[in-house]
Amino acid sequence: MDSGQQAFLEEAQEILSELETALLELEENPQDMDAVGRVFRSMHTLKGSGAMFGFERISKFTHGIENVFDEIRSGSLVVNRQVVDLALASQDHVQALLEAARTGEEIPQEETSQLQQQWQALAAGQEVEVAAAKRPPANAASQPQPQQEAAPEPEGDSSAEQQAASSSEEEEYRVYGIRFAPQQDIMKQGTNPVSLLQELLELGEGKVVAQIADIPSLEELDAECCYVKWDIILTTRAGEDAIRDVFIFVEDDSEIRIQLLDAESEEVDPEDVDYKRLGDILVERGDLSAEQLQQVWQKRQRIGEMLVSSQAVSEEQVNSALAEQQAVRQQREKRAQQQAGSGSNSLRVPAERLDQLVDLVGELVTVQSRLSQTAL
Amino acid sequence: MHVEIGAPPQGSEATAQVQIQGEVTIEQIAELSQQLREAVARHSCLQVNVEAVSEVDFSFLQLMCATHRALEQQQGRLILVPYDHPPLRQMAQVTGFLREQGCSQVPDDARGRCLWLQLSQGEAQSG
Repeated sequence: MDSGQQAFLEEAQEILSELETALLELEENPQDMDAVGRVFRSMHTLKGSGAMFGFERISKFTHGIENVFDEIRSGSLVVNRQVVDLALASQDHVQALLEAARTGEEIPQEETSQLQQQWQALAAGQEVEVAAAKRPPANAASQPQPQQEAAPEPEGDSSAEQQAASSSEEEEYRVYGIRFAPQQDIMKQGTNPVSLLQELLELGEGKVVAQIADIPSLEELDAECCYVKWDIILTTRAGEDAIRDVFIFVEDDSEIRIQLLDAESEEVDPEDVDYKRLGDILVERGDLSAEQLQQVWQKRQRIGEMLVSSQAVSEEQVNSALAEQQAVRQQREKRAQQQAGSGSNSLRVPAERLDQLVDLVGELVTVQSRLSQTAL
Repeated sequence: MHVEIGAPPQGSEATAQVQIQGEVTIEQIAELSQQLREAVARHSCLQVNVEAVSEVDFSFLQLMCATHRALEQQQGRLILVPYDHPPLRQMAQVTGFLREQGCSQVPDDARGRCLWLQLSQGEAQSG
């Protein structure tokens, strides 16, 4: 077992512990959407990291559970006792798979398949019988009552469902700028940086720019090392925690910067009336000093070309800053269009005018009726 | 992975042919790197044929960058054929190697020959 796999097993224990806490909170309060989010993130991390370090069985198993909790987040399903019981049983199963990875013990595939089938049945709205999971005795008394067990509940009359729906409505698209500079021997330690980029792109719509200036000459190159760092501009509904989770196993040895560039509800730079200028983005990232920018400004030419030709920054850095500018611009334009669209669908009319209009229509109907009688 | 390097006739200025087959990932990259290093020391122009390559990872893109720079610095050329091989394009896409502007790590007159610029713009390489 390599050091990456060892690290995964250790981190997975912490995730399982957090998962258990969240599940017990859900058992107390099935409407706790914060706990639902934590269960989802735990499963998401186990899925992604499991795949990255070669634990395919754990990855596939947790993927199915992640999907169910995603549906709970979006309000399509609700939490009930069966969900909590099955999640606790699944947590025990993941624990057993981790133990088996350490000891080399074989766990029959049927055990995993049976739980997977139960999750599929639950997602399809069917009743399932879940074997009792191990749980701390202190929480045994606070299990939900049997009358709360039916799943899924009818549409529209569940407060958990309403809460999930309103939580889903509150989610908004945000634009993040992410700098990921892994340590050079990341691949030698068994981690594939491409998997991390792919996992990040699963969170939303993104543009990846590779900074390749640090690749050494062919003579000096150790081909198994990683000399590239990446800038990712990600437009997503996922929060910063979900982005951080992607890097959970490499964050200690890598440079990871996550910056919120644009959000509808959050305060952005007050001077940023439209979107940031290219030079300002580069200065903010530390790719360029304010003095260098000033010198180039004085020459009054296209900033990107001038910065590259003066060798203040590389073309990759300019490309990356342009990607950020474009993503923020697109997001703001989209939002403006949505606002303009929603504005054209409604019209404010004073109540008195509406009354007047109704009176006029009433008179019209009366006159029309008299005319009809006269014509007869 | 299997690599064959076909040298041009002695004294000829023709391009040496490098044929690569199979997977080129972190498992094989050190071996390929050594073979390319030796090829660059002997020849100024290399045509790397990746048509029979079934899978690449990001380490191959990095190695191609270093090889391209080494050849450009000795007034040579690196040609990738087919330049839009699907596994290569897919890896260049997901890792953000595709670009709209040329590489700043080579002499000015070689910027337009950036491997990823041509892949991004869908142009055939002129060599």
